[in-house]
Amino acid sequence: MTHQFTALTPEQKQELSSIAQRVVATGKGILAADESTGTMGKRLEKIHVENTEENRRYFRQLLFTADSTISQCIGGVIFFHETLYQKTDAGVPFPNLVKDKGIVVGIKVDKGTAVLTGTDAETTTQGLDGLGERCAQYKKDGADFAKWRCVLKISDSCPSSLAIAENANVLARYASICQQNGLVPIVEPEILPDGDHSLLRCQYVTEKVLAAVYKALNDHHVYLEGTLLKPNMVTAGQACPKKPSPAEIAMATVTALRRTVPAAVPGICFLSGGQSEEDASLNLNAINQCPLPKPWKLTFSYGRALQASTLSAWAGKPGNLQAAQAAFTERAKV
Amino acid sequence: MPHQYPALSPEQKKELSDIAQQIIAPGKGILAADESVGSMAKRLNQIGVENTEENRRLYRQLLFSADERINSCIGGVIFFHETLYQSNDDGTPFVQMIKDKGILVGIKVDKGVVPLAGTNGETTTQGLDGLSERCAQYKKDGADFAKWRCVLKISETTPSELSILENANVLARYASICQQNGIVPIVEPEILPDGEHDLKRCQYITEKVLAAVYKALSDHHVYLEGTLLKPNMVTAGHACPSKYTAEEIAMATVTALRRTVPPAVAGITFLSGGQSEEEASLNLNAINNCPLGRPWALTFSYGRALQASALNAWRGQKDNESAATEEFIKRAEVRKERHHEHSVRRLGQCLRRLLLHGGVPSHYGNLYSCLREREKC
Repeated sequence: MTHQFTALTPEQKQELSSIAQRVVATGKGILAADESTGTMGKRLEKIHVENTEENRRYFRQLLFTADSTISQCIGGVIFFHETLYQKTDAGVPFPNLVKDKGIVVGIKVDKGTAVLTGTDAETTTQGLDGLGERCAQYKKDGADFAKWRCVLKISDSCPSSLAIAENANVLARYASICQQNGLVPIVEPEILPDGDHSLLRCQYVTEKVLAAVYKALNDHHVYLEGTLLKPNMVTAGQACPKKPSPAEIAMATVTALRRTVPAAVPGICFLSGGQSEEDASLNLNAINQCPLPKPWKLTFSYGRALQASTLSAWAGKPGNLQAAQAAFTERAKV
Repeated sequence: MPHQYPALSPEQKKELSDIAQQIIAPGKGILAADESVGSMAKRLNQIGVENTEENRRLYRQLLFSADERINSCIGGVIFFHETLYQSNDDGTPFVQMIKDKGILVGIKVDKGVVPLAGTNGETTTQGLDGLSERCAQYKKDGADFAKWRCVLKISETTPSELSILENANVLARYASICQQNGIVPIVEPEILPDGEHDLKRCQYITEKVLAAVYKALSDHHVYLEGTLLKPNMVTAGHACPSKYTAEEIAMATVTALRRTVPPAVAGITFLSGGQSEEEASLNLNAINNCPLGRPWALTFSYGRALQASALNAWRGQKDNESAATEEFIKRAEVRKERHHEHSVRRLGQCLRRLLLHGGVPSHYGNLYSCLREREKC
C-alpha cells in the first residue's frame, strides 16, 4: 500500500504512451473490425452471405485494402484472433497490410461474457487465464493494443454493486496484464442502451460505473497515460419516449466524463452501441463542439457504424468490391 | 445504486458552482486565516505576543484592513469560528469587511484530529455531529465555503489502508453535508512532509490518497463542480537527503493530479504545508508553468506563507500595524503577479487545444450559458 514496487520501467511507459497517442492522433479514430465468428454470422446473414472463414476473410480484406486515404482518419484497427492470422489474396498478412498504412494493430482479447449468479442476468467478462502469455504472443505477431469489453445494463435493479465492482476489477486486471506485455489496453465498460430510461438516468449510471473503473485501475497500478477508454455515449434508452438531441447527448456525455475520467487518459474512443451511422457521427460531432473543456482526445471506435453501408454495398458479390470500398472510405471520412 | 435521488436541485448546483468559480477566479487564491486558538498560540509565541482573544482579534484586523489591492489577488478568506463573530475597532464585523471587498468568506468546520486505534499513530478528523445545523447557521452568518482538514503521514507503515479509506470517507460526508447547506466544501487531504521519503514516494502516495478521495466523493454523490481541492504539493520529505528543483516538484505534482482529479473539479488550491513563503511561491509558479495539460485552476490557499512576514513586522505593537498590513499585501500581490500571467497563458492553451480537437472555440458567454445547462446534469 505505501510502497511502490515499480509496475513499469520508464521505457515501457514511454512505449505505451506513444502507442496510445498514435491511435488517437488528431482526426483519427478506431475501426473495430473484431466481430467474433458468431457476431459476423449475424452481420453476414443480413446480406445473405454464408458465414464461412473465407467470406469473413474476404470482407476484412475489402476493408483493409480500401484506399490509403483512410490512414488519415483511422489510427487503429481492432482485429479478432482469426483475422490476425489471415492474409490477402496476394498472401500479405493482414497485420502487415494495416501497419504499412501507418495504422496501429489491435486485438480483441476477452473471451466473452459470463453470468454473475445471484444477479438479474448481469455478467462479467472472462479471458484472464493465460492472458499474459497470449498478450506476449500477440505483441510478437504485430499487435500494439488490445480491447476487452465488459457489459452492464440499466433496469430497475441494475447495474448492481456487484456488477459494477466485478466488471471494474476484471477490466483493471486485463489492463495491468496488457501493459506488462507492451500492449495498450482499451478499457471498455459498455452500458447498453436497451431500456426506457431517461438521459439523466444513463448519465448517473455512467458516472458511477466510470468512477469505479478508474478507482480499480488506480488500485491495480495501471499507467493511465498508456490506456484508452471506450465508453458508451450518454443517451436515453432505446425505448425511451423522449429523444434527446445531439447537443443534449453531448452535454450529458462530456459532463459525465469530466466528473470521472482523469486528464492523464490520452483519449476516449466512443463505441457506437447500436446507433445508426448517421446518429453516431452527429453525436460525436456535437460532443467535439461541446463548450465544456475536454482534456482528452474524443474520437470513435466504431464497428457497425463504419461498416453497415459497406456490408450492404458488398452484399457478398466480388463485383461490388469497388462500391463497397468507396462506401467504407466515405463513412470513415465523415 | 442504479437510481438517482437528486442530491441537489439545478439552482443549488448553480449557486455552488458560482461560488467555487468566484473563489478561484483568474489570479486569485485563498488566505487561510483559520488558525485555531492552539495554532495561534504557536504563531504569537514566536513573536513574543500573548495569546489572548483581543490579540487574535487585533492580528486578524491587521490582515483584513488591507486595502483594495488585495481584492484582485484574494478570492476567499477562511475564518476560524471565533473570528467569524469578531469586529474591528470601529465595530464593523470582519465578515462584512471581507465581503465589502468582494471576497468570499469561508469557515473551518472540522473539530481537529483524533487517533485511529490500532494504527501507527494515524488519525481521522472529527466534526460531523450536528454539522448540517452548524453549516446552515454559518451560511446565514455570511459564509459561502468551508474547510475540513484530514491528515495523513508517510513512513514505512503509513498511510495504512484504513487511514486512507477513513479519511476519504469522512471528507466525503463533510462535503455532502456542506453542499446541502449551500456551502462549497474545500476538500483537504493533507499528506505531511515529515519524513525522509523521496519525491517518487510522495507522488505514489498522493495518487493513492486522491484516488480514494474522489471515489468516496462519487459514492457520496458530491457535486464536483461545486467543490475545491486543497492538497499538498508533491515534495520529498523534510529529512530526505535528495533535494529537488521547483520543476521536478511541479512535474510530480501535476502528474499526480492529472491521474486522479477529475476535470470537473473547479480548482485546486495548494496548501503551503510548512514551506517558506519563498518556496511556496516558487513552487506554485513552476506548477503553473508545467507543460502538461491542466484542466483545473491551480492556485494557493496559504496561511503561514502569506502571513509570516506580516506577523514578524507586527510583533504585537500597535505602531507596527500599517507596516505589517503592508507586508501582507506585498506577499499576496507577489502571488497574484506570478499567477496572473500564467492564467492568461493557460487560457490561450485551452483555446488552442479546442481548435486542435476540431471543436469550435467558444467565447466566454457561450461557456457560461453552457454551464447553466450543465447544472441540470
